[in-house]
Amino acid sequence: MAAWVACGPVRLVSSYDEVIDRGASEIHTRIVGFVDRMTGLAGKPEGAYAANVGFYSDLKASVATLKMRALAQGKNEVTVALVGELATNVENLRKLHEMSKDAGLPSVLASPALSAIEVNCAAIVKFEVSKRRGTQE
Amino acid sequence: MAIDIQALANTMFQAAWKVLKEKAPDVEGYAEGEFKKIAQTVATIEAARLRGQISPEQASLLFDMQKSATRSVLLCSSGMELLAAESAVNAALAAARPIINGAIGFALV
Repeated sequence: MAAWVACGPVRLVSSYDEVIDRGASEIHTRIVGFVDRMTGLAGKPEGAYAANVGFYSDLKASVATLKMRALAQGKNEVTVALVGELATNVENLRKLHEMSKDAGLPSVLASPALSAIEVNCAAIVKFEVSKRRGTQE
Repeated sequence: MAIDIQALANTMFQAAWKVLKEKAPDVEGYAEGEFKKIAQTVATIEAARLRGQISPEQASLLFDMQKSATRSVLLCSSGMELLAAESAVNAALAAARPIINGAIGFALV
């Protein structure tokens, strides 16, 4: 038993998790689609925060599920922190929308907000893909 | 005064690179590219604020979002640093394995 344990590779970081990779990519797709729609609807009643509260609730739930999945694996602190940063910026996007009330999410607000969230999502995917390469090597 | 995007991106990258270059040189292209994007976005926010298109509160939230993006780049880079260390340890163990196991007579490593 001791010899079998000793033969395993050293793991400093959890293995690649397809659920995290796909989950972050899907969340990114939903946010990009939503922000694109909102910039087109800025200034209209359909683009107001009140008409879109549900999107933020659903999104918050998806990010919470992603974080739960990341927490379930050992040696996954970096991914947990990365998903935490995404959650922070999803909340900041919601606050921006809420702050604008009936004006909705005009491009001048949406574009820099989306840019930051894209970096958050890309970091999660980049690190997850790096774990897969590490496994293959 | 307008932000010099290139100077800002370089300042961010050089500060991070001092720490990363010895431990995870592979992250150079990724970190440099992401810091350029963030610097460009910071300049866009500043311009919108100067034109009065966004309120101080909105600008503050947007800057907070760029800070979070910056933390994500650094976290990802540090994670890749850990992966590089893991690969180095496993490569060293793989190289030592036949020597040690051969000498001992069973699979210790």
